[in-house]
Amino acid sequence: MKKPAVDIVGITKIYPHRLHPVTALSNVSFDILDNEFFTLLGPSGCGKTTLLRIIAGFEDVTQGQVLLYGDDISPLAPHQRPVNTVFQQYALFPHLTVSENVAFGLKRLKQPGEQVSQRVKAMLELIRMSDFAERKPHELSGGQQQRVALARALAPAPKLLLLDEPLSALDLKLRQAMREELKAIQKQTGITFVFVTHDQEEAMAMSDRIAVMSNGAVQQIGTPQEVYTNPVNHFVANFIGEANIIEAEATPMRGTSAKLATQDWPPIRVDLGRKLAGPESLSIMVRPEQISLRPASARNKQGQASGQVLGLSYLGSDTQCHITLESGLSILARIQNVSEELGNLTVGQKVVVEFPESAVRVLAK
Amino acid sequence: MAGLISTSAKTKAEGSIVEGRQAMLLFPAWAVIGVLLVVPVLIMLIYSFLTQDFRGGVIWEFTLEAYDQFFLDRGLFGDEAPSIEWTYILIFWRSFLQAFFAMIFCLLIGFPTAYFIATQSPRSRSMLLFLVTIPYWVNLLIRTVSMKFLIRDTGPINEWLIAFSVIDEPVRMINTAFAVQLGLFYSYLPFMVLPIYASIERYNFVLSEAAADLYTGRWTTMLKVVIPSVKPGIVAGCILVFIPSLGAFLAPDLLGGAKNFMIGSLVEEQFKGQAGDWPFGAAVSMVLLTIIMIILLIYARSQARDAEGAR
Repeated sequence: MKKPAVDIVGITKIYPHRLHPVTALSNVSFDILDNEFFTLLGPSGCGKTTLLRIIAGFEDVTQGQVLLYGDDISPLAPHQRPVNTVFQQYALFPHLTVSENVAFGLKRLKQPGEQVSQRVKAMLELIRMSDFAERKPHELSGGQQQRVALARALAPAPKLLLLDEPLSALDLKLRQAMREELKAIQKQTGITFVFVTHDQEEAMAMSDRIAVMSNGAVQQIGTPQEVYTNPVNHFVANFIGEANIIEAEATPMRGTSAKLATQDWPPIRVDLGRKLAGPESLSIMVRPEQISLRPASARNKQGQASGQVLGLSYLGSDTQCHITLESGLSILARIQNVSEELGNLTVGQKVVVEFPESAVRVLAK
Repeated sequence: MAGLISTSAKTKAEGSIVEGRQAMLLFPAWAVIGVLLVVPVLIMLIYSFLTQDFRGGVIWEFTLEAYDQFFLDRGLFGDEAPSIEWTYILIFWRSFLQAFFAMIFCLLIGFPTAYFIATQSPRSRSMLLFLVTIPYWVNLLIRTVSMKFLIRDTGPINEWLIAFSVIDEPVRMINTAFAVQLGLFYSYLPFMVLPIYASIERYNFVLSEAAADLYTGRWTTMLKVVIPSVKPGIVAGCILVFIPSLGAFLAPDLLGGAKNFMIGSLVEEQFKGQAGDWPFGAAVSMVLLTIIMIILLIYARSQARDAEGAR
C-alpha cells in the first residue's frame, strides 16, 4: 500500500460564539495517499472548505492534528507550510504580471534568480501560457487566470496542492476542459492534489478517491466507482447521482442472507454481510438506470409493481422518467435513448417497474 | 463615447440629439468648474501681471514687477544689479518641507489607522469612521487655537509634565517648526485616513492569504501585496494632505510665529489690509500653482508609463 501524504487525525473545529457556537468539523480522521488526486465532496456548509483551510493553515483547529508525511504541521503558520493553494477566485496579485505572479513564491523562498526564471518558464509552458508572461491578470480570461493560479501554486513544487472549488467560476465547456487538464497535470507533476468541490460529476471525473462529507463529518471514502455503486447511507446515495430509496422489511435466512419484503415488489434475496437477529426494517437503493419499464398489459400478474408515468424529461442521451406506483411510492427511471422501443412512452401511461436483484444496495440507517 | 454612438447604428440626427443631451447633462459640472475654478484662476493670472495700487487692489497697467520682486533681488532701492532673491524661495522651500513632513507623518499614522478600521466588523467600522470625522465638527480656526493653548509654555502639557517632575521648566513648543507640523498633522490627518480606508475596504483580503500561502510573512505581505494594491488610496491621501498643507496659513500663523512663515501666510498678507500687494500675492499663487501642476504632471506621466509597461 502507498504511504499516506496527509494524516488527518481527529480534527474538530468549533467556531466559538457567545450564543450559538458552530461545529464545522467533528472528529474527522482519514489519510490522503501520496500522489493521489483526492476530493473532498459535499454540499455547502459540510465543512469541506474548513478542512482545506485547516490543512493550508488559514484556520486553527479546536482539536486534532494534521500530519504531512509524518510531521505534525498543525502549529505552523501558513507561510511555513510546504503546501500551496489554488483559490476559488484565483486571488492573483493584480499589480504583478503573469510571470511575476508565478515567481512570487519562488522569490519568497529565496531561490536564485536564474533558477526562478527557469522554473517560471517551465510552469508557463506547462499551462501553455508562455505568450502571456507579461500580461497583467485583468487582461486575461477567467480560464487563463485559473491556469496562472495553478502555475503559481505549483511553481514552488509543494508537497501538497490544495484546490478550493477552482473550476466553479468557469463556464461548462471550459470546466470540462480544465478537468482533463488538471488531471493530466497532476499525473505529470506527481504532486498530491486535494480538491474541494460540491459538484459530484466533477469529483467523479477527476478523483482517485473521494471523501463524501456532510454535517462536518466524513460519510464515506472510496473510489468514484465505490461511492457510486456502494453508497453506505442515504446521504451518499442521494448526493452522488440519483437514487430510488425503498423501505424494506428484512427477515433472516440461512447464513448472512436475508429476505427483503417490499410493498410493491416480490421478495428479494440479498446477502447482508451480517447475521440478522430477527426481523428488521431497513432501506434499499436502486439507481435509476437499473430500473426497466415495460408497458403494463391488460392481464396484470399479481406481485408486479405497476404505476403511472407522471413526467418525462428528454435529456438527449437518455430520458428521465418519473413514475408513481400504485402504493404511492415515487420512482425515478433513466432510460437510454438507444432504441425507439420506449419512444412511445407517454405521460399517464401505465407501466410495470422492474429491477434485477443485483442492483439492490442495502443502506445503513 | 464616440465608439458607443457609432456602434449603436443610429442615424446622424439621432446621434446629435444624444450628444446634445449629454452636453446638457454636463452643463452644471462645467458651470461649477468654470465659475469657481477657471474664472478665479484667470483673474489671479491677470492680476499677477498688473501694477500694484497702494490702497490695495490693482491699476490696469501691464508689468512684470510682481515676478521680478519674487525672483530677483535689486537691493533696497532697486538700483543694484539683479541677483537671485532668496527670501521667497526660502519660504517656498520651508513650506514644501513642512508639507512633505506633514504628509509623511499623516501617512505613518493614517495608514495603520485606516487598516485597523477597515479590518473591523462593518458596525464598528462606521462608528470608527464617525469618530475620525468628529474633529471636523469644529471650525479649523478654533481647533488650531485650542492646539495653541495646549502646547504653549503655560499650557496643560507643560504643566502636567512639570507637575509629574518629568521636566523642570517648560519645553518650548509654541512658535516652533514642530508646532506647525503638529497643527498641519492634526488638521489634515482625516484626509489621509479616509481615502486609504476606502481602498483597503475594497482590498481583497484573499490576496493576503495567497501571499501567506506562498511563503510570505506578515510584513512582507504588507509591503509586497497590500500596499501595492491600495496604492491609489495612498496617493490620493498624500495629495489631499500635501497640497492643502502647502497653502495652509492658520497653523503656521497661529502656531509657528514669524520664524515659520509659510506660503499661505505670505499670500494672505498680500491680500489682507491696506498695505497689501495684490499683484505680488497673485504672482506667488501662480508660482505655487505652476509647481504643483508640474509635480502632478510628473506623477501622472509615471502612472501612465506604469500602465503602459504592463502591456
